[in-house]
Amino acid sequence: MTRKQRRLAIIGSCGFVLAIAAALVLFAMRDSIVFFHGPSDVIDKSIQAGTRFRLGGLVKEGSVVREGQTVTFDVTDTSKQVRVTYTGILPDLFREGQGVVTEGVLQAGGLFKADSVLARHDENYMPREVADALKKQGHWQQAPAKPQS
Amino acid sequence: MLIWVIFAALLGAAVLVALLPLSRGSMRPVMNADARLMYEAQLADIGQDLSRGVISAADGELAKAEVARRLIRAAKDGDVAADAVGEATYRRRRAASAIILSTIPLVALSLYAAKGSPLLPAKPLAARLSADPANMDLAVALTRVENHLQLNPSDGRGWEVLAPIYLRTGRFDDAARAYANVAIHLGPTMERLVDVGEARVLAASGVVTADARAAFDEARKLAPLNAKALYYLAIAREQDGDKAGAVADLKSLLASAPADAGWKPMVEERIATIEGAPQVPQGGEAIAALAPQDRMAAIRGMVDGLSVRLSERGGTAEEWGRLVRARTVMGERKLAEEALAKARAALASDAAGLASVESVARESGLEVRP
Amino acid sequence: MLVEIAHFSLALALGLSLVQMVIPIWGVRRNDMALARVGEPAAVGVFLLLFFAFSVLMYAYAVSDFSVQNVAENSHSAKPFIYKLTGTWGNHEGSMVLWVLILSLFGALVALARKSLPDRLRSGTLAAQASVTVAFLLFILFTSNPFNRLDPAPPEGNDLNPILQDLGLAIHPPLLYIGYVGFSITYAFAIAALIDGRIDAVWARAVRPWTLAAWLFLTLGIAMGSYWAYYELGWGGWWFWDPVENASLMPWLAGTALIHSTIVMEKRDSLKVWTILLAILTFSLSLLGTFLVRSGVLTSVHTFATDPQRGLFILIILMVFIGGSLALFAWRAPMLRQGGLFAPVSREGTLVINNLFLAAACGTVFIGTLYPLALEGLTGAKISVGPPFFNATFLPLVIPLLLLLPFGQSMAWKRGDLLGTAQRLATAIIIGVVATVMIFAVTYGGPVAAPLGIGLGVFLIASAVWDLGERIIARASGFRAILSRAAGLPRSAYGSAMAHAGVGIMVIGIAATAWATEDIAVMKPGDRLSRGGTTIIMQQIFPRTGPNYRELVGRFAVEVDGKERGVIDSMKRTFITRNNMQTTEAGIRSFGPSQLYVSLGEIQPDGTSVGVRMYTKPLILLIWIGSIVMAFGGALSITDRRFRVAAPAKPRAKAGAGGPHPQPAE
Repeated sequence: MTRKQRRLAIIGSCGFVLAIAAALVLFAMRDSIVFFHGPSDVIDKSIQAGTRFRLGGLVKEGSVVREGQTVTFDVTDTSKQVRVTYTGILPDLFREGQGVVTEGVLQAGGLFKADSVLARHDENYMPREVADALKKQGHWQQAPAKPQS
Repeated sequence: MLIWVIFAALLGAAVLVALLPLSRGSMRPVMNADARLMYEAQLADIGQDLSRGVISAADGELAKAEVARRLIRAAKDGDVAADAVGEATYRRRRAASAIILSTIPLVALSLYAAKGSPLLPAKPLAARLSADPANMDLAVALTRVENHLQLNPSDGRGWEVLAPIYLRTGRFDDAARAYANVAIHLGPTMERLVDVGEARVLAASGVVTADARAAFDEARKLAPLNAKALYYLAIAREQDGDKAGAVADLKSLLASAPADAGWKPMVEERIATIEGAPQVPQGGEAIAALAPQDRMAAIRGMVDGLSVRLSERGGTAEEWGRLVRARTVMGERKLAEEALAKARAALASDAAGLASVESVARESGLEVRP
Repeated sequence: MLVEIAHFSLALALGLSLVQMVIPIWGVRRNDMALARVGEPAAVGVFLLLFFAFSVLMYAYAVSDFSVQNVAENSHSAKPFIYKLTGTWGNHEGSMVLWVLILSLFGALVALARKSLPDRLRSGTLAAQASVTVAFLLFILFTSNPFNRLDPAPPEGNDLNPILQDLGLAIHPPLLYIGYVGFSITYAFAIAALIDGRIDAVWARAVRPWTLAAWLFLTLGIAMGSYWAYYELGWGGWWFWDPVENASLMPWLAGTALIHSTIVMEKRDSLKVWTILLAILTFSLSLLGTFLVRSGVLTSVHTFATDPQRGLFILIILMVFIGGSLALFAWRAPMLRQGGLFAPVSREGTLVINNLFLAAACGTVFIGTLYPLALEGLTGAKISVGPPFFNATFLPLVIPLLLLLPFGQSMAWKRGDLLGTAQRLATAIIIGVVATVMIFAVTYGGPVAAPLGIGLGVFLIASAVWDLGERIIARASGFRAILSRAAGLPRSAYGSAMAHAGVGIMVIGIAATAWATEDIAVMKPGDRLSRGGTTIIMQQIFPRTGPNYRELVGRFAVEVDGKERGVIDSMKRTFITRNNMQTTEAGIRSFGPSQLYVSLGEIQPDGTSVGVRMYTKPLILLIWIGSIVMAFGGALSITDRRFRVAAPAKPRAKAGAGGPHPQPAE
């Protein structure tokens, strides 16, 4: 092979691999990305049933109903709420009145069927999405700062 | 003082370390010699491999040729001609020394000065705990016991230690709970139940509430009540409007008291207060049953009484603490501060007592200046 | 007083680092050896000062000195002693001090490595390294000072997040940091080369051990983090494509590419500009990882505190170092002497392909991690890019890379022969295919991915072993000759074979996750839960008290194929010192490389039964064993005598196409 051919071969293979990578990324972007919505978004924007997304907010006080392994509860941003059903074991820090992020599919009746409820790592930690959704509703206050002394 | 000496020593060491290469005055210029040495070592290495038979002769020759090529190229890149060590060099090194001598102390001292607290001693927990009990940080000890009890809530002895501390620091609600735990885990006795009742009374700013009375009633079932319980029950009668009955009870309590009982003056005083106090409106009900503002007024009356008594005749540290706490609970900050000031004066000779009053004040959110 | 001296040492270290940054560069430019040498004692001095500061901080934690704000906020007197110590870096400030400590450790090592580095390169490197130290010391002193004091000292501390009270935490961050920060040395080497305008095989040779060291610690750190998440979070998952995990994966991918490209540079004196760029990018990605984790842009367990001021500061550091180095690169790189071109089918050609795939894979992770942030910044829409995205992009790039790896490994330099290589690999290919077919037949009806993946793993291991065996045995006759060849083979050859076999082991472990099972049940004492041949029988639920927590223990008897195999304790812990926060401690029992994993869910309202998750995880330990083998391979390569005396390339002496790769979960 001549020098020129060699150079072409190398540049060509670089271009080929990069093109494949770009194609994969674009393809995956279309199919496997999940949006995040707060309860108000879900109701106001009338999201279609069958859409997969993440729903975040606070677990409404007194709304948790357990039936064997299935749990239903309301996720609220204090103005609107969406009923969620989930089958499985909840994370350690799932509590009424606490922030939660769930991922699943909206059913026809407005029920959100979650297949995962995200655990939080720390009792002081509010998922950023939830904090933002609450801020939007004007109900978010910065958690009281740790005492400094 | 020592700390400044250490800072100076560290600073000196750091500056010296940086100056070292300058002072040693290595005049060897930077050269490419290292690269050449490296390739020469590589050639020697190949020779060694060849003699051990690790690589074939052909491979070895190839490798040697390649290294030799690199060696020639490195040599061609050339030794960078060394600057003559002249005036310029010395000037440069003096400048570098000046930079080192100025930068390091300037940066270190200014940054440390901004945030450091050179005079603040270390406070490892062990030292704080083993300190002389008189100066021991009460809050530290308290937290330790509390942690222990949170993990071992059924340790009645622990609650027994904790309860009086709560009482002394004016945390009456916690004291009541702690005494109740003592009764639960070590078994109820008359004395323990009376302690529960007393803490409840104190928690209600001196009012014998229904809860407190229930505790005394329980206690009565176990053994004849002690003087403390009888005293509170007499107060309860007074609250219910039965002043004559209260005075009679208190008097019989006095009569049965041993001659050296420390609480005698207190009972006498109480009798005097009741007899001297204006009549509660007829049909007088328990303070607890009064309308909120009336109840407040009644409690305030009691607190004021306490204040007057303490100011005029003095009292124990415990009483001063109770007064300070009561004042802050009722939102009378000014009066609370006043009470604290008076307590300071009154307890000037009693350091431990004063400390306990001050810790109550701190607990209640008052600013305590030494 | 110690604490204050440590605080002063921190400030002093900054002053000394400034000197280390400025004077040597001046010396190099002026050819004044004395000035250039200033960096060496300074680097050692900075290390000693920071070592002292960090030790004192650790001591403050050990004795619970709550007059130190950092200790009061992150420790507790009742915390077990070991976690008091590890808690030193379980928080933002402490971990940043550890960061610069490791930074200075590498600086000191470079300063002391007198024999193996040319003077100019060492001085320039120390200066560049010091600039990073200066930036992070400023960051610590201005926004994250661990030595702030409290007066009066609070009686008790706030305690450490219980999820971080674990031995995994003791090991994971330091390993990861050594990896992250280790790449700063490679970066400093690149900057020094750019400033000096001189880059050659000597440079590549000098950089390689440092890169390998950083890489091997990063490998261990990532593996440790993954194992920690696996047993501590109680979901049985080991890789979540969490942005924070991605932040450590990106420098790893770039670093892996760098290890391989320096081989080409060293042996063939080519790929120079790309290697320099890669060195800069690798450390930039490490910095980016630090920024993502520390700034609070992402929320995760690693985000100790979110403070916009800190985020801004790190962002500025990020821009200065990445922007500055890339600008320097754009300015100076064209002046570097280009290396020669080479044949596409050759060892160096396969290494280029390796770099290409690794860079592309790194790019997809980069996009998947940053795209949501960019989108939210631009349009406000919130999206989450999860495992589906990475499985669809990362896997298709990594699988061909792994398939090609053995070819690169056994191809000749300069002029390779594809067919000949394939013939040499025939045995390994056959072993891989046979393994696939056999496993497929045995588990017929099960997931197809598992046998295919295991076949790939077997192929990788077999080819690594085969290649090594061939080098030892071929052209040698007699036992003695074989022994002598085996002894003569450079350690780096063993190292790379081992690393590549480690990749194979890991691939097998990952592929076997397709067989993992998950069962959920509500159980009370006496209940049984079975899957396959494995049964757990709940024996009892009872409370227990630990040093700073209380826990509910579920005790299960384990039966495998009808035989008793001991008990598993699975816990639900409540940390009284942290607001009654709960954590799950999974009960795990290993059977060879396979594991049985039982975690407790919620206590049912009746109080006697509890939700239980039982996972069987066949061969799961191979994932981490594979990583350790990889890291060990890296360590073996470093000990190669040739790095120290800087011996040359013997044709065909060193291996290494293809790169080890962690793969996505599930």
